[in-house]
Amino acid sequence: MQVGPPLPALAQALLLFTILALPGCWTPPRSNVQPPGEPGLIAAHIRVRSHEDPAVVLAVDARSRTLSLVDAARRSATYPVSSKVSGLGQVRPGERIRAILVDELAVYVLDASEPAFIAGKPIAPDAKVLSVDLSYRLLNVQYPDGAEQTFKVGLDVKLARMHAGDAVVIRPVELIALKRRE
Amino acid sequence: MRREACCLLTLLLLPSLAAAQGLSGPELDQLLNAQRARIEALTILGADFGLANGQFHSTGQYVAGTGTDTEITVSKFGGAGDVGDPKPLGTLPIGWQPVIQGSMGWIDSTEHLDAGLLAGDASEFKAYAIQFGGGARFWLNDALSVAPTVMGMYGHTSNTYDANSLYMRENESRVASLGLIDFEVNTWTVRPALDVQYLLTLHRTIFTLTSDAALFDTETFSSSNTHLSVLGTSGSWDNKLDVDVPLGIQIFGHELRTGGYLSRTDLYGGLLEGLQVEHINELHARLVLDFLGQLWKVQWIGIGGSYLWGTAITGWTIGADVMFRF
Repeated sequence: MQVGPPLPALAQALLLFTILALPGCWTPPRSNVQPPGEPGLIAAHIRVRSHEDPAVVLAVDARSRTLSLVDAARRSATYPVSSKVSGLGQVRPGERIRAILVDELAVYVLDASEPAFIAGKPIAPDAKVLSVDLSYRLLNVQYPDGAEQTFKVGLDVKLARMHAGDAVVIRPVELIALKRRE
Repeated sequence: MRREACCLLTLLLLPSLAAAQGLSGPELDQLLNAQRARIEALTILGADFGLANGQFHSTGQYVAGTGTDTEITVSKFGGAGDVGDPKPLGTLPIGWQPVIQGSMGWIDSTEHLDAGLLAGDASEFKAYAIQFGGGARFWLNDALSVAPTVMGMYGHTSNTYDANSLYMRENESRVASLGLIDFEVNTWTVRPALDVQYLLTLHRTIFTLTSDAALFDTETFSSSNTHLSVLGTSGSWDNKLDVDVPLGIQIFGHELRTGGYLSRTDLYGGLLEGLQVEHINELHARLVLDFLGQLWKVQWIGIGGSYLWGTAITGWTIGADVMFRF
């Protein structure tokens, strides 16, 4: 009883496998590399959404409608709260919430050996690009503490120009949804 | 067409063997072996995530003047997925990630006997099975990976014979007592497999070449008839080219993607003997919305359909196409 593929087919498959295995070795993605290209801005005003669950409320200002949060990776930021979000007055500091946040990204090529200035303005990167998925439009960034976050970017974003090691500046734009955790 | 040959042959042999000379050891073994292979094959086809599901049809003329129509319905839910991103394997230039696989399925196969002494009879096999397992995928470079896996599978198969012919109305209980019809069998299967995958991205289009070889070792752990037990080995070898194309069109905040695959699955051992199918080709097309990074663990949601054909078998399937990424 023959229960396996015929031997010639196996030999052909093995040969093909060897050829495919020849080019290079696997290397893990790294963000602490010098990206290609001249220092400068690659893209700005890249709007992205992120879900934070849980986020801990640091401070609430119901009058100016702002909320300061710290996420699971202990990064903190203050967000203006959308006028569509209700119940802000009931949120208390220390409370754990689920939030949908809108951020704006700017991606730069910076020279690691030089102070980070672009057009005379100092640049303070929040994270670095770890990997880019062109097909599914995913920008994976790594923070200085090693934590990673993946952003889905719009169709208009020129992801092909971004590489591992590019600097990413993240600006909080708005909190658009909030749910208090039980 | 060889697909139903062994099963029909089994039943066609019954009158002459049973009536003329009685069923002795070798003849009975021959008939029981055909049923064993059938049970093994239907259990695997019914649940294995690597084999196609859908609505199949088969017709045949096996013995002079005789024929059968067989309808097979296979419904499955399951699949395989790599967990997380690849991690370095010690200090080796190899990445690895866990692989989980699981599937559960149901199969209903009804053979309508339309000629000979058994004309008007119908033999219905029903099987349900569940399988689960896993392994690891090893990345040799950014494109090429291999994934050895092991799965375990439980299956339950039953046969119900609808005797309308004069011969079987008179002999049904005797044939049933021999374990040839009207039985229930519980089986377990161990499934080691090796999957080789090559990824190629051109612009934003992803091409995935996959070659997956699986071995199925099936045994009975309980049977309604002492004559009927299963101990068999089967194999399948699936080779597939998948294309995943983003269309650049946004609908409800999600990009529309299309694609599909062309695959050929060769069957060996009990699968080949039980189904009498040497290989199955599948042409699949899908239209989906991209949810990756937008909905937890979901890569896409949409619709898809397949046309299947092979030696003595045709089939089709259409339904929701959902892909998860862990």
